[in-house]
Amino acid sequence: MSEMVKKTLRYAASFFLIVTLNFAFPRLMPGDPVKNLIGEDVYVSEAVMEELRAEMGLNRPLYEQFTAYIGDLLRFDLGYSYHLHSPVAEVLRERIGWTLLFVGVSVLMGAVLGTLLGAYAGWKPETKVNRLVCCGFIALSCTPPYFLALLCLDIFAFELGLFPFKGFYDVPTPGSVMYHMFLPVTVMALFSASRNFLIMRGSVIQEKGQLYALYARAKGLYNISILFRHVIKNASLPIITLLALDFGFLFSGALFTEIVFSLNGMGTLIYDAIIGKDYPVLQGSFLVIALAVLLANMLADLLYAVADPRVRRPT
Amino acid sequence: MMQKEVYIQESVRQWKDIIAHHLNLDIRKYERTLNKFNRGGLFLFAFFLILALFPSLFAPYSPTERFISYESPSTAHLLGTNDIGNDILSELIYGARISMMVGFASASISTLIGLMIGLCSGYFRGTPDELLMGFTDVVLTIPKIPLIIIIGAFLHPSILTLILVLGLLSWESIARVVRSKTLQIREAGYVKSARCMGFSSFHIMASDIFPNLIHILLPKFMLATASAMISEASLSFLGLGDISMKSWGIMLSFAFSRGGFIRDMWWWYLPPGICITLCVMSIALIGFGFEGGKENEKRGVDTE
Amino acid sequence: MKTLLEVKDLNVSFQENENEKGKEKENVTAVFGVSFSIREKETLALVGETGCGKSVVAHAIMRLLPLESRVKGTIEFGGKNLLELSEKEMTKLRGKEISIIFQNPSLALNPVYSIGHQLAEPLRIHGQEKRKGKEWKKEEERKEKGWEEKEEKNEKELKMRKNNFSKVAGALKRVGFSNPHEYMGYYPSWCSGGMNQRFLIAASTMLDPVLLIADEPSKGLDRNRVAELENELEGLKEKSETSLLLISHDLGFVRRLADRVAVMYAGEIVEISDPSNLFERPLHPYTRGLLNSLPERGFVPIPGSSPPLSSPPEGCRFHPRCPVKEKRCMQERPDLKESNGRAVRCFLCL
Repeated sequence: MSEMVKKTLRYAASFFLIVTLNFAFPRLMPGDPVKNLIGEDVYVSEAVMEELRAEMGLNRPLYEQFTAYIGDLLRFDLGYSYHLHSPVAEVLRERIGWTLLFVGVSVLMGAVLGTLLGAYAGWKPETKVNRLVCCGFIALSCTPPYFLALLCLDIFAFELGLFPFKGFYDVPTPGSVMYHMFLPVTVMALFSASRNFLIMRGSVIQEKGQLYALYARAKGLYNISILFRHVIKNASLPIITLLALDFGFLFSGALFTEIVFSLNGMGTLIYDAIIGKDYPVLQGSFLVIALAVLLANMLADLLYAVADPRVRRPT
Repeated sequence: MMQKEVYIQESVRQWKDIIAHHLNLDIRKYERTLNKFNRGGLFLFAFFLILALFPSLFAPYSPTERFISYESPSTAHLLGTNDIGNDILSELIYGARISMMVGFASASISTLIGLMIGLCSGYFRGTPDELLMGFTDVVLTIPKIPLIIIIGAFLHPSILTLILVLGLLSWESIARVVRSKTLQIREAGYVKSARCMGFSSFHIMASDIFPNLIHILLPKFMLATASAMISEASLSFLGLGDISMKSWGIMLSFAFSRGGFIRDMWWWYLPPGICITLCVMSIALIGFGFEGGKENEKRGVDTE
Repeated sequence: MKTLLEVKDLNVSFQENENEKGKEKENVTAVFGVSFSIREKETLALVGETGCGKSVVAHAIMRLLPLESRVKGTIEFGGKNLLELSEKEMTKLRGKEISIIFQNPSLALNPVYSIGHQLAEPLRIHGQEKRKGKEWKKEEERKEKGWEEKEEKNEKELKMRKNNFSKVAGALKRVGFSNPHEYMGYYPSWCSGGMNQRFLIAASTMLDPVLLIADEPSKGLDRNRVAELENELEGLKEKSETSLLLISHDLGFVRRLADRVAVMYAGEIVEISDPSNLFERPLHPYTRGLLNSLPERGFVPIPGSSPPLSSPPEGCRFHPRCPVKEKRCMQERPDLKESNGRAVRCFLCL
């Protein structure tokens, strides 16, 4: 039970840290906090600046500012983007659905693909095909995701003309969504598969040397069924945790892929916000992404407890 | 004749023993595990390292020298020129230094932090361990790249902030590995006897535990370098890099945003991308090679 | 009594340092010219020091050795040479006719499956084979029945599962668990080593194998547990037709259980005898030394240590440690000589 309490405490601390970081950034970073809070390139007069300063409570003590900030968060008020002329929460709500769909689909596909191929490659690491596949995945995992996206876009969209090279902005039908998403999802799935592949391969190589695998053989299981009936479940346990930890990394990778493929999600939003120094949007995006990753980690912890009997030992 | 051969073999063995003894790095173990790919990685890495150390020997021009812009590859400019007329090949060669520097510098920072936190947490156990590992877990769940993006956006991009931010935010996995290894080592007889003899904690950590951590730190350091280089390239792509010091990531970013991609100038955007991939791969392969030792030990049935 | 297993001239070598190029491949011969036989319902014990190749013999019989090992000789089991069988044919024998109890029960059980699941596994694996054969014959009859077929199949599966369930419960009861249904939901990590040991015995004897190999079953157990284990194995011997190959370095344990004892030293069998003769009148100097090193016989250790298997001494392998060696012991390798039911590998005995 104390393990549960510890985990919960850690998640609470993570949550608190994320919120605090988000609160602290515009106030600690060099430059005028007002500028940091509304965005740098917004032109406002001195008078308006002072007005805003008073309105945002920047001349009040910090703890008051912090409680006000928490209050705002609870009302889903993430500030106002002067660039996009709309509240940040609304902008994010519009965009995040697409990104989550994109990330979810590709992470899932990558997990399945990487785990299965990795398991097989770990089972028979000496064969030529498996060595080749392994090299391919090492190369993939060493490629920055956006470069991979650029390459695919160039080859399949520009040279071969098989796929569109821009995202969609009109009302999407399922067909057009598939058509537009195919290439980016493939790139992301490959990228996430490459990470899972390497972990799974190493894990299987380690697990198959364990005694229970030998005992499974002694019980009369034939070669490959030892892998599927005994080794794979043990070997995929670390994958669950790593998948969650990787989720943040993959999420970031997805942002870059979105930018390259001009998909209408968080990635392009962040890219535009960086160029336009639209700090409120950046902060809001960070908060949302960090919370999504936190949630993914919690989910993985729960899943792990269900999958591994060693964790839920009765006392 | 026989004796001479034996003598030579013996001297090589002694030499390896010395390295094994002083650096606690048993080369023989790695020799066995380094296969063709790892050797290839080593070779590639040496190539990039030489480029990074002596770019002026290889680059045909200075990277800031200006020619006609948007030129296709020719004998004068093997990879053409970019939007402001710089020779792309020269840029590429000078970029090696910056990309690798960012990678190694930030990996050094993160390895150092990870080592300290892991060592303290594993050695002292109890409350310090709980606190430090709790902190590590908390930091681990915060997504790095978005955080770096937001910090990078507030601070004006410079290579130093990039190194610092990357280094300060990626030590957690190293800390965890170091901690678990330290927990193992501190139970070993020689550490216990050192404690009984009354050596200070710092002395034991530095002279008894640290040497045994080298062989797990080395692969971790390499992999941290590789991932820092990817992160640097990604951040540069978003325009958060230092424009005055052109790394491969910035070259790629410029090729994307300043017309290289639209004009289909593959000689502009392909080489830096390939260089990043190859360089990262060579470093990662060396890391895997160092790591591989463990894998091999586990093979084979115990011949009890 | 009929001979069940006949091992002749078994040689097992491992290649080491495979990856190192340029250097000669170093061969380690773990088992050297081992021959013995086990009759039906007999218990043969294989004793010797750690690292003398006992477990390798066991693994060789089950064909569980890693791929890089070289196995020579013949292992005849029920008229078939096991070393010539294909992997598929071998899998049919494993767990059903020959099964093994490993020395580390907590590691031999898969941590992520429940005890019940793992105990039922041999039933599932080998039950399916039988059913497949029968089903194939009945295939045509079934086709006529049409839609009923599916339901029937489900019913059969359910029946089989129930059957398995009760069999597992029975097996658990046999090894001394009074409430087997509770333990079936447990996982290996929740149980002690002794409990896991009994689970393992239950799993390995589930299908009443003709030959059971127990690889150091008493290792790492305390006195009480060893006594319990002894009772279980004894009960097993009485109740079933199983022959037992018992591998151990615990001499007292072996004496109480075995019908015959083979002593191994450095990859060779040096003496085979019935236990009472072996313990009262040991022939080979190594056996004598081994017995003298027992606590109740004065705790006198054998001087020196076992030779490395990569470079065994010339002549008799025991000569560097032998108190009564002669000149020819250092040059010639003695053969295993047999006389009135005992065999010994020594020039000076018999």
